[in-house]
Order: sequence, then structure tokens, then C-alpha cells
Amino acid sequence: MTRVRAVALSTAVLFLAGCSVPLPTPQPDALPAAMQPAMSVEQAEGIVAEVSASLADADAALSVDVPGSRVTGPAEAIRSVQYLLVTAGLADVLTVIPSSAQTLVLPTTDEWPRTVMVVTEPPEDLQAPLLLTLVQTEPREPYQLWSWVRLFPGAQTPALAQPELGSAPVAPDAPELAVSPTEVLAQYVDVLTNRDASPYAAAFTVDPLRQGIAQTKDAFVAVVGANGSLTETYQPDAAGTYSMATADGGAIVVGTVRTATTITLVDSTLKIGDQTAAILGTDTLKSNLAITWLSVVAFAVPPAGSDAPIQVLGAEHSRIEVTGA
Amino acid sequence: MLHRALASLLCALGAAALGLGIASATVWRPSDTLVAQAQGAPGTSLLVTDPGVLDLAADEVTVRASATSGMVVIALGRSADVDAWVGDDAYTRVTGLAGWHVLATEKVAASAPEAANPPADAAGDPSAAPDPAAEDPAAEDPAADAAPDPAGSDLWVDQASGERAATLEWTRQDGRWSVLVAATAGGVPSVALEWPQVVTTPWRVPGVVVGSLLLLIGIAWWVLILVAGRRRARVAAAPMPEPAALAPAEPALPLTRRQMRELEEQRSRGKRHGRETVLSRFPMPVPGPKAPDESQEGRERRGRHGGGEADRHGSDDVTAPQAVAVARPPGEGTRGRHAAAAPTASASEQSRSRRSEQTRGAPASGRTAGGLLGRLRRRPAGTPAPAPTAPVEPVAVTPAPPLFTTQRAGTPAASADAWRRAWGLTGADSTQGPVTTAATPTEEPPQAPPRRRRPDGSER
Repeated sequence: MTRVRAVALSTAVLFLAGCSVPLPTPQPDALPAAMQPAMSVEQAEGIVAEVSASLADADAALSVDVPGSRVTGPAEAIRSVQYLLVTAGLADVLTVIPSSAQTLVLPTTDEWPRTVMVVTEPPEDLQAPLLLTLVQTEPREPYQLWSWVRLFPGAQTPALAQPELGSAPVAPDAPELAVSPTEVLAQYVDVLTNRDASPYAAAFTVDPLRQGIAQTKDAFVAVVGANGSLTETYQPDAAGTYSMATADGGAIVVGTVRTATTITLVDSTLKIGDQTAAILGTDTLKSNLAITWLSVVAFAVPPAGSDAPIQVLGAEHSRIEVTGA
Repeated sequence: MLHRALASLLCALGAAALGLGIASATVWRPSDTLVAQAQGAPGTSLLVTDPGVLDLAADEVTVRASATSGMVVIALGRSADVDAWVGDDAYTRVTGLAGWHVLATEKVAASAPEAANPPADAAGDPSAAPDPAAEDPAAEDPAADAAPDPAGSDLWVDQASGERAATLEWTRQDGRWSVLVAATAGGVPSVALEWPQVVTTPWRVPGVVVGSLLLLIGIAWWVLILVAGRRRARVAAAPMPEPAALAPAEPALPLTRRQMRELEEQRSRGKRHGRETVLSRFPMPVPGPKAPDESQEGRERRGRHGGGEADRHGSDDVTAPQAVAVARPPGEGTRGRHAAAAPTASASEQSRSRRSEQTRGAPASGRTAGGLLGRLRRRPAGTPAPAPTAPVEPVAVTPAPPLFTTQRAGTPAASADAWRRAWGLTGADSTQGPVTTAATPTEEPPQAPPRRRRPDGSER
């Protein structure tokens, strides 16, 4: 009996031992050797949609200070002025920002800030597509529209990596470019300042922004003439630059240039145009006028070792502050 | 009995296998899901799973989160993103399974940067900021601040939220993924991960098939046993009348009291020696040439022997057959005669010797005396057959000596007469027996052998 029992017991134990399965342990995928995009295309599209929705709210309220606003930096500044102009009754001042993307440039990073660049579909008004820069400064912050630029007619962006592969963010002082992003802005400012006299004039393709700034300045100079003085200074904006690598090893660099125009009148009055007047609230100046322009410029910077010029892809140029009396 | 037990065992085994097979797929069918739960550590409003936990047991997982109060948010994102979002906050980390239904957790305290902030603040304060004061805000921070809300972050691939409970389903994707559960009202969240399990019932089909087979075989066996039992019962019932049928035939010849008593005894004996009876029906063939010799010898001896016995026992005497049957070698004749003083012993001895001598020739043709009687009685009908059997009988009877004595003692004169008549001997007078037998050898040889041989052939 005892033997039978022992046999039965050992059989049962063996059976149970055979049945028992060890607890599964977490077996996560190994960290990929190559950095993966920080988000999927779907996520990016969702983010673009969120930004568009938020922007639509702001547009409806004509204010960037709506709950859950996703506009920041230069974009916020420029958009605010546009709302101001709209409020002042000007038409066609609000930049239409399409909500659908034709190209996504997703960052391969696990750090912050993170940058996503988006080339939108052409807007309905048949204007050029926009290059949006979305930035997430901290993990708990949302992606916000930091800037948009209108791509110049005929501008062609360099080849970009597929969004599934992602594009590496480029540091402002990245050495792997022919010119580092920070230096690109500095050089461009020098070109704006010195025009063709700048040693870097040849380093950049001729672009509408540079021409426009020069024309505007020349026009002011002509208006003011001997009745006063005009000074205009250019400097890279403190907002910095955001850059994303392109497929050829170069980068798309988005930076901002602040242009300060100061006019001092001597015993004369100056009649100013619609937008400046709308911002200022009056169109007649008797003593001085200070206009601050904010220019967002997108460059295509070739990789290090390349002799190709830096291409200016697009820009957005707007007054953001006008003072005067 | 053994068959019945085996058949029953088969039935039982079959039923058991069948039942177990079915039960394994029904009652004992493992759950379709594996659910493991975890409770957030006290003081944490966030709970994070390690990468790999979500697809621990299956590619698909259902995350059920609940909070003691307020809203609970489930956010799913890349592990790096989740960790970055949680940042320096205290949280509960799910590291795997602690048991089949329990998730292993560990509490991660708020890390340095956050703890460093209050002291900095305290340092900013002039002087009256002792350590406790510096620590208090840090300790209270999680509680006051305990409602970081991950809802709506762009980091998440999927998210869900609800009042006190939320559910999120996730299918495994490449990469490292984690889930973040946040009790945004500052309570302690708990989470249950539910994985579907592929449930196999490997014992169902074998159990049912084998069980059914065993059961069927067992039932079939039982049926066979029962049928065979009934047939046997019928067979057993049928022969019963036979003795009864015989009996009625008997009265044709009036039975003396002794005969009746004998008959009874025979019957009882017949029952007891049924096996021998059966054996006697299938005797080994006797070689042709031998038979005559034997019979002659036997007759010779029989005569002598019978005479001796007759002398001793007087008229009442002797079953002639017994004496006759002893096919003893010539040399033994004297011994036989001597032995006659103790009939029992001699008879058994004779039979023994005979067996040993000619087992092959005349195998235990052990017909009990019953046969003899019956035949003797029938003899008047004119059948010579039974008579020869008589001589052979005593040999078979030998194993039971008592039989002998009774038989010998009880053999009626009538039967002796009958025997004599069967052999064509005259004289119903028993006393003459010896005389006639003495004469037989000389007179009868030509007749007797054929007669005796025929019954041999027919009966054997």
C-alpha cells in the first residue's frame, strides 16, 4: 500500500512538474543599433492635425492665447501680428497653413527638444507650400508650431530621408555641415547687412527675402530722404535655429533674423503704409518710427566638403513691432 | 469471473478516460486569459511598465487601470518616451510577473533634481529654513503635485482615460513599449494586464477516442459474457430432462430395492466422477491386433479370477466385470487370486498395475459403475453393447476404493445374471457363475472376441 501510494505520489509530482511552466519574463526588443524616429508617421500626422486644429481655434479667436495653444516662438509673434492686422480690418494678411503634409521630416532622437519639419500641401490659394517647424521642448510639452516659411517659387528641398527612417536632428554648431547652422545665420545677416560687399554673398543663392529687405530699406531711405535719418540693423534672433539632416548629409536649417528699422524725422511728417499704420494705430509720423521685423528663413546647407552654395528655400518676413510717434 | 472483472475494468477505464477527456476540454479547460495585477506603491500616482512587460504572455494585451478616485489615464508609448515623461517623479515600476496573477513592482522614489529644488528654495530663504522644512515640501510635492496628467501628450501612441477606470488594448509592435498609468486626482493607481491565452485541449480527442473504444470493448465483452452465460444456462437446462427421461424408461424393468439404492449411489457417484466419465468417452484408440489378445487374456483371467471370487463370496458374489476387467499379465494371476482376500486392495492394485502396464492400450476407460447398471438394465432390450463395457469399468473406478467395496458388495445377483446373459452364458443361477466362467475360455473364444471388440470400437 505504501509503495503504491509512493508510486502514485511520485507520478503526480512528475506530472505536475512536467505541467508547470516557468513564469515568463519580459523580453523586450533590444535597443536598435540605429536610432529610430521618435514617432511614427501616424503620430506625426496626428500632431500636425492637432497643431492645425489648435491654429484653427486661434484663427477663430484671432488670438494665440487660446487654451491648448500650439503656436510658439517666431510663429506666435508673427501670427499675433497677423491677428492684429485682421482685427484692424486688413484682408489677406493671414497666412493660410494647410493641415495636410506632403513630406514629414521626423527626428531620430530620444532627447529634447525635438523637432519635426513638415512640408505642407500647397494651400488652396495656389501659393507655395509651407515648411513648418514643430518643436517639443520637453517631454511633457506638446509639439508646437515654432515657425512656418513660404517656400520660394522654384525652390527645391534636398532629398529627405523617409519618415519611417527618420532624420537626425542637427545641432546648431554641427561640424558635419559646410557651415554650421549658427554660422549660416551669421553669414546671412552679414549678407543682408553688406549686401554684395559681403564675403558670403556668393555663398548664398539670391533669394526674394534678401531682395525684398533691400528694396524695403531702399524705399524707406528714399522716402525719408533728407528729412531725417534711417538706420537698419540685422541680427540673428535669439530664438535660435532648428536643423534637420537631409539625405545627402546636409541639413535644412531654419533660423530667424531680426531686422530693426529706425527712422528719425527732422521737422517733417511721414505717411506710412497700411500694415505699419494698422499696427501703430496711426499712419502719420512726426518724429520717429521704429519697426522690428522678424524673418524666418529656411536654408538648405550642403554637407561639409561641399562647395555648393547655401540655398535659401523660403522665408516669412513680418513686422512684429512698430513704435513711433 | 475474471472475464467479468476485466470487462468491468475496461468499462470503468473507458468511462474514466472519456470523462477526463471531456472534462479537460470543459470543466478543466484553462482560462482563455492570463490576468496579472499590480497596485501602485503608496505615494505614487504614476505606474510604468518595463519594456517587454506588455507582451509578456501574448502579443495582445488589454490594460485595465483603475484609481481609488478621480480620473485614471492609460498612456502607451515608447519606453524611452514614457520614462522621459515621468522624469523625476516618484512612480511604481512594473518589472514583470511575480506570480501567475501578480505583477512584480518596485517603487522608484522621486529623484534628486526635484528633491534638490526645495533646498534651493529654502536656501533662497534667508536663514530660517532648517532641514525638515526643506524636506517637507519635497515630501508633499508628490501629493500636491501628484496629478501629472499624461493625457493628450504627443508622445503616446495610444491612450485611454476614464473616471476611476479605463481600458486600453494593445497589439505588440516592434520596439520597446511601455504603458503609463496615472491617477490624475492623486490617488494610487492599479493596473491589470490581461493576455489572451491560446488554450489547447490536447487530451480531449485522445481521451474521447480511447475512452469510447475501451468503453465499447468493455460493453461488447460484457454482452458476450452475458450471451454465453445464457447459452450455457440453456444448455445446462436442456440435459436435465435426460436423466428423467431415462428414468421412465427404467421402470420397464422392475427395480429391486437394491437396484434403486444402487442407482442412487451410482448417480451420486456419477456426478462426482463426471470428469472421468467424460474422459471415457474419448479413449485413445487401441491398436488393432492387441485388442483380441487382451480380450482373450482378460477373459481367461476373468474366468479364473471370477471363480476365485465367487468361491469366496458365495452366491452373492461378485461383480464379474470387475474380475474380468483386470487385464493382468499372466504372471500376476496368482497375486490377484491371493489378493482376492482383500478385494478392495486387490482391485485397486490390479487397476494400478494395469494402468502402468498398458496405459496406452486401455487408457482409463473409467466408466463408473453407473454406466454398467444402466446398460445391464437395458441389455434385455437386446443390446449386446453394454456388456463389454462392464469389464473395463472397474479399472477406472479404482481411484475410489470405497466404491469398489460397495459395488462389489452390492452388486446384485441380477446384474451378474445380466452380465452372464450378455455373454451368452447360461444360468441365472449365480452360484453357477464360476463354473461357467471356468468353461468360457474353452468354449467361447471364437464368439467373445468379436463381441467384445465391437463394443470397444463403438464405445471407444
